[in-house]
Amino acid sequence: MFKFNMSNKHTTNSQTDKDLKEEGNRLFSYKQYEKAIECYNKAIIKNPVIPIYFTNRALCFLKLKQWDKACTDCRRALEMDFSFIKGCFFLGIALIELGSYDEAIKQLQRAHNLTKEKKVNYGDDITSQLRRARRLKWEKQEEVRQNQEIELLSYLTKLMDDDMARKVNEIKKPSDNETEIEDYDNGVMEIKNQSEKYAAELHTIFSKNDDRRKKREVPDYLCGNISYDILRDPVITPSGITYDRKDLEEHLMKVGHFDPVSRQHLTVDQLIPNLALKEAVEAFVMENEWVNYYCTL
Amino acid sequence: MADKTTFEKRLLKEFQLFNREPPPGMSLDVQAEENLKIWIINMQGAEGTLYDGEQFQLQFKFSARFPFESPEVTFVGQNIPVHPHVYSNGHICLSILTVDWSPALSVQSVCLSIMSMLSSCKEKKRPEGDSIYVKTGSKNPKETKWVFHDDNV
Repeated sequence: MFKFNMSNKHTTNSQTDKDLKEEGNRLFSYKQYEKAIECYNKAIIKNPVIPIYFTNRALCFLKLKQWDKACTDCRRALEMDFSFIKGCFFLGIALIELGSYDEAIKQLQRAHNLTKEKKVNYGDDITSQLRRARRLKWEKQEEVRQNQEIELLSYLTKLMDDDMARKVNEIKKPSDNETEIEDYDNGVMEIKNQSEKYAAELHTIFSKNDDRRKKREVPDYLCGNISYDILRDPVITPSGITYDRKDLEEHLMKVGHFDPVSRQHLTVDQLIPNLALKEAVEAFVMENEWVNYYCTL
Repeated sequence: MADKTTFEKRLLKEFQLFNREPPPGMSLDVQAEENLKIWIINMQGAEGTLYDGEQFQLQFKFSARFPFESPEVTFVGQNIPVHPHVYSNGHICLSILTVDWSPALSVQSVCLSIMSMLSSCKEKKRPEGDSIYVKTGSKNPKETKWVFHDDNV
């Protein structure tokens, strides 16, 4: 019998580990995570070799944002059953939150592979977390790279300033002679102007680089006419127009048998993969990894 | 974080493109409702045409099947252009909006087609049978079986 009031100790003593797990699950569904954890604790004490008790408890820890504890429970579950999908999955989520993206990706990838092997359906749950982990990893790398660039820029600026000061020092100091004073002033001015010019050029180069990265735009020639998105699987029609295969096939099925742009008659068997464009897209994606993580434009 | 569908991505892109570079005489009313599913476009009658100086409003309604299904496009608001292919309830008789729809058409290209349909008009008059159509026709112009007898306008 389910009893909602878990502080009632004498009832728990007579419960089996399975009963305790059921109660935990029920408390979980009422979002009573701390109380659910108590149940799983007791279930684990009674029977410490059932991995699902650990992963259920891990899920409660995830809900309570106690990532370390969630990790520990998942790892214990995986020690008992190496190919336990939930273990990998929850561990991956906790690792994302802890910032260990590489290991998170490894665990989520494993969870994803296991769902295929065991033919179980997790819908988009695992893959969306996997994408999230990859995106966050990339963002972290970007941040590091950006900071390195800033560091490099300030280092170069300092070198240039030092160089300018050195050059100024090297000019012969003027005596009281007026022409010497004038020469000296002109010399200093020239060095300073030159130095300012270099500094401006350096900043332009760095900010150009920065703008290009921030722009995050896929050029139109790599985008399809139907999805307006980057062409992952480009196919060319007899009219010479390229579309994304998935979109074009959907068009042929739902709208009609014609080329959407030229309106010439068209059937699926006439489509030819556009390998050259595919290579161009792949090269672009290699250089612009953000394409995988952001809605473009 | 669910991924955006083709439909949402494309609409968002079209919205941004249109906003950035609207066709001449047109502007987007930025109160697009319900996840960009309804757009209102303000349109000015082109200079030197019968509609010079007039203001119109076009409404685009997108279904979840867009772009594999055409948007529902009608004139709305106070001023419905008097044109042989525009009924007084705002319905437009234009083949690309129904049987000749292609997913390669954009909001922009549809707007331009409608603009050129207006601009090439020689005489301002309502279509034949306007009052009957407005009284008895469907509320959704896409459910009307149009007969496209005149491709020149």
